Amino acid sequence: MAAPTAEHYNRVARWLHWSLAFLIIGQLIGGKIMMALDPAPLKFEIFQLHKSFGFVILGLSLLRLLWRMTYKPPALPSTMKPYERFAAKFSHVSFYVLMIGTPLAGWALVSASTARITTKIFKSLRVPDLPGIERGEAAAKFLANVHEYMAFGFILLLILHISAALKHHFIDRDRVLIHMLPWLKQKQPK
Amino acid sequence: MTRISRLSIAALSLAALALSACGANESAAAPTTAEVPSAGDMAKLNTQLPVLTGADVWTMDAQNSTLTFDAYFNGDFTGEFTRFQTAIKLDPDALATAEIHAVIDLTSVAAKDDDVRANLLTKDWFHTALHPYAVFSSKMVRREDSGTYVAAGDLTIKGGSKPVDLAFALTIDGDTAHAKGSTSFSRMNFNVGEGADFASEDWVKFGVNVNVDIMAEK
Repeated sequence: MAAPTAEHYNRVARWLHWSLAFLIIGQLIGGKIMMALDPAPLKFEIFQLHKSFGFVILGLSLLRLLWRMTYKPPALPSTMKPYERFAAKFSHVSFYVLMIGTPLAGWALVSASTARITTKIFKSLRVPDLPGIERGEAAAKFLANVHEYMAFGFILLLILHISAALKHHFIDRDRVLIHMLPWLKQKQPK
Repeated sequence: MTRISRLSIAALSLAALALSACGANESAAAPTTAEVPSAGDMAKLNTQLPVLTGADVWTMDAQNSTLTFDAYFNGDFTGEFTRFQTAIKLDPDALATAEIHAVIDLTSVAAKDDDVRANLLTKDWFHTALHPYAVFSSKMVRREDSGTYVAAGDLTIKGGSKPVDLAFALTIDGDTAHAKGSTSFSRMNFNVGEGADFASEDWVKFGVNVNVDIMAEK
């Protein structure tokens, strides 16, 4: 007898999903605001916060990737077309790439920066530079661009992800959004 | 997989993350801040200075002399050089022969926090690997007012020299002298703070005050 497919993502997976959602959206908005500020102690402090939250996101994302290997997520609705399944799979893999890659690019850029500002997570936990990264203006600029393009990719992916979730719920009226929000009620099929 | 084994995987990975973070914390030792100068340090600095002779030559009391600077990074702060030496020949009644020389070991800088100190030693700032010393040298000392003087000299930092006026108040009590003064200049005169981030005053202002407080004996 085949095991019944899960009704929802499990509690830990949901908790990780939503906390990362808030943290990542906060980082994207915070990063944009931070870059627009004039240099001042406030801007410096926001930079340090941005770095701190980046490491929190990196840690939670790695944990989430490990956790993801321990369970079978709820099956996609049988009504989904092959290209939709591919798009879902592709966007989820992309999320993992960006969730881990964007903080790593940020860490690399701090490690390459000619301004040696020690990273201390929430002003207490000292983080070393990423090994193997040469300090220099050219490298720092390149990595800053990589970090920024990844953030831009994140925004596009979030738009796709949120639009897809809403389409599943309100147009397809399936259970995809309910997988992450168990308290939601499924819409009556049209 | 059971719920228990999933939870233990999560707990283990959290523990691993925490441990690696703590390990990182220990391995990245903070750079040492400046220490008190030893006799050997002072002897080494003396070799950088001219040997002056005469009855009006003053020997600095290193324990009771200070060399500080005021600058701005994320707010005003005061830093200090703990290793410096002077060669001073000064008789208020014979200013024509007066000389004031000073050598500063730039690696002895202490400033705000370890990050600021670490940055100051790099090639964008003092570049101490190539230019460990700053030197001030004046053979033109004039009286401004009773008890106040100006030493017009050259300050050399990072291989570049610029004229600098050091104004100071001097009190002489027998064989003991006390000079307290300051000078101001732009760090850009000496290429201190290179690179796109520091070519403007955005993060670090250009203006720097250097303050001397020297006790000396004959």
